Amino acid sequence: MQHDENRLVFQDGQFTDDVWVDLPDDGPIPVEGPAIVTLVRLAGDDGEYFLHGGCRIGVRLRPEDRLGDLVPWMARLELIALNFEKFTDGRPYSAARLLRERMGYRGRLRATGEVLVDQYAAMRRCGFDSFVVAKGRALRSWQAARIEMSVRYQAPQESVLERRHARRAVLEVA
Amino acid sequence: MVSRVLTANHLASGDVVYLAADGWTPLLRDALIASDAAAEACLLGRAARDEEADIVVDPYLVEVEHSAGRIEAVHYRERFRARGPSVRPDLGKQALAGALA
Amino acid sequence: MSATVLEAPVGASVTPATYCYDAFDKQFVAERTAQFRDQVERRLAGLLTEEQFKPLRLMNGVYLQLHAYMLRVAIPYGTLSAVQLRRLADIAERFDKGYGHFTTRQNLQFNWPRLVEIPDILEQLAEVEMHAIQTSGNCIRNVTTDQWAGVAADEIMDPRPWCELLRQWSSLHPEFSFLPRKFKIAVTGSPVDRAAVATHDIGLRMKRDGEGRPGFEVLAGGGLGRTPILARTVRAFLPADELLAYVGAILRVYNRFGRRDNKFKARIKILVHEQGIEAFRAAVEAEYAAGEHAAEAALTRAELARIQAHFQPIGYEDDLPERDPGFDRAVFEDEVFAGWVRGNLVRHKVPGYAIVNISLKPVGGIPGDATAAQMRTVADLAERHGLGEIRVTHEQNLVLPHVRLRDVHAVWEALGEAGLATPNLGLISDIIACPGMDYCALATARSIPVAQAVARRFADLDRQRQIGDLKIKISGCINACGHHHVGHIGILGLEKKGVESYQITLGGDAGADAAIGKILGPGFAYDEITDAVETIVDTYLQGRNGPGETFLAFHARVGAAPFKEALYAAR
Repeated sequence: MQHDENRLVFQDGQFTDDVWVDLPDDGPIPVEGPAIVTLVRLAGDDGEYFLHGGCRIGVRLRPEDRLGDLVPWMARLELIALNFEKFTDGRPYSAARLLRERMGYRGRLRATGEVLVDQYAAMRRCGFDSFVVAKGRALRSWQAARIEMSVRYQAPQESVLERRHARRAVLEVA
Repeated sequence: MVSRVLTANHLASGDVVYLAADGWTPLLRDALIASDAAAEACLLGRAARDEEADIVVDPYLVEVEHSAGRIEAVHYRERFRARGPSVRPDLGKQALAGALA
Repeated sequence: MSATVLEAPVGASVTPATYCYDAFDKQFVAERTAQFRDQVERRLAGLLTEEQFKPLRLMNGVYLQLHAYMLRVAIPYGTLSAVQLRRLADIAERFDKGYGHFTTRQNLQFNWPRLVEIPDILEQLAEVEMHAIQTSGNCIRNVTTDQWAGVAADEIMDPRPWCELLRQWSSLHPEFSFLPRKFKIAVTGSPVDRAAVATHDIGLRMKRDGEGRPGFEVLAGGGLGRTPILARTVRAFLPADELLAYVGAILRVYNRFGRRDNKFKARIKILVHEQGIEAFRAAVEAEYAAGEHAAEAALTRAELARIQAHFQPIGYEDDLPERDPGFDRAVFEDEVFAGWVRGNLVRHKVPGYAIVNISLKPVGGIPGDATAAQMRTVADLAERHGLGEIRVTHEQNLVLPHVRLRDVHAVWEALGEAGLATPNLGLISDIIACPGMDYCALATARSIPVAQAVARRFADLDRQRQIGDLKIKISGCINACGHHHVGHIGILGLEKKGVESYQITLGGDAGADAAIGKILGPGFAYDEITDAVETIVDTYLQGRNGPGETFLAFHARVGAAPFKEALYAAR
């Protein structure tokens, strides 16, 4: 199985080649993986194998897939890929937060599809920690972008509200 | 066959512009007029190149009527666009000296 | 009456009782400005396509309109300081064409900025704690409220601290920046709803429970546009400190399940309508119940207390009498002044003060437009006589919310010199009109010249006063920025067979008894619409049971029939 030459993965602060392979619904199952399958395949006939087998597995979700269907697999999944069909489709942001904050998912949370640098901060704050970037214009823009917001008003992650609260607490002690 | 000109907005300034023989012009009266499909394709080809080169945005063809050196867009929206706000004759292209001649 | 009584020098540091940025807020806007400059540079360098850049520029208030770019500057909940208004005047002169346009969402639009200069404009704005963040795009827009918030005598609470809390919470929200469609929140602190909350995606009505604790009735699913729907109640009473978490639950349900297949069915009103209010409410309550909100509620309480301190009225002169003899004398002696007072002055909650409403609808003028010189005049007057504060109304007028009664005459004289003393507030010539096809790329017809022609037709003030309370609202396309659905007389400009055509609706109401107007019949041509409006008004005047019966009451009593008869019988 081949890696996609047209994209890189940004995670842990650097660009790397992707070790994960997208498995189609009808292809053979690799012995060791790491492989990303659809929810359909995970819940289908091969499900038992994925649940108990030795390969590293991940799942790729469409925005309309139900997160609750992942529950039996949560301990096994090393990666969940949420697809941005267009970068203006905001549904994966909510799905990411639900996976992280409600369902306790701690593995890789990957953004795929139209993944642009201008949405990187929002994606990261919602819990994504892996970003598939297309080579070409998107990658050049990713490398050229200079500004990142350090101030944020909302949870998750330390918000201005919390920082103000912490300062008030210091003042009260002093 | 109707006549058409090619219009767009200049990316950096936002100005309404028309494709002329030597590039983009702010004035409709200086626009190149296409009267057949081949000429239109030629205008669209040049516009697409300048769109790709990030000089203009949103190019499209506009139907015009012209006679005796006068040129006017057929649709009222394009007539406002070629002139400026109807309620502020002091603003827009209509305020440029001789722009509407 | 003297203008020099207790006069503060212009430019003196008047600190208005509005929100002031702390270091975090300043850094946030500075970083966002730098980020947008970077985005513009990447666009010009070809690293962003127009398709990729467009949502980014929209989310920072930059449109590409009919003639040029347009920059929409946020005026959070319609509150401005004199310093800010003066800066807007400076920007209008330095970067634009010497004027600005106040909108139906309490914002200000510059119609001619160059893209390459917009980052510089944003820096100018940031210096006075302003920005253009989320004034467009499919995100949470500027939160709007009652233009008389904090000063109206009929108010339960000043809603602006909650608006400010929502402003901060919604700014660059990581989860809710790419919603199915735009999202508008309005808050009213008064039972007399001047914020038209039922026509918003979320409407919040401040309430107190049995024990006097503050909270909100939460409505959702309102909106105008091509499918006008009034919002429904989701929660009859929500304790105030649960506001952010609950609004977040509504937004999450909308973000996940709102329609994205069709732009025209993507607003939350369609989701609420298609699911039904019960199912929608159940989904919101389930989402809310599944979360842990105690910590956020505690933070909300602490933060609200901090913000509320900014809005504590300061600088009121204590123990002024209810009446001012000089003011009373001027009203008695000057009939023109008295007429303006009757129309444009509103009772203030503090004795000895008045709310001064400034009409931006001079007869024949462009509704909502103000020149840089006019902005400076209003800023000066606010500093001298108004505790440094100005409000923008959704009806496209301005307000000096705290003027001592004894200063009102001097303020009126100064306004008159600047062409700002038109005494037509709430009358037929106080027309809401969107920019329409004179500026807007989406418009299907012009709005402004229709407003001008109608105002000229009814220029006679005695006739306007005889007609009484009659709100005309004009939109230049189905998107309804001119709120035509809720105009007593609504006018919608469309294209029909290659020419402008105007459709009339009657009986709309934006107030506490919000109602959507009904289409009267076939449309009218550009040169017929003024006559049609006059026919409608004459029909009302001839048929009403005396001046006590308003246009709306008359319409409710007789229905559309007499209007149709008068308009279409002769056709």
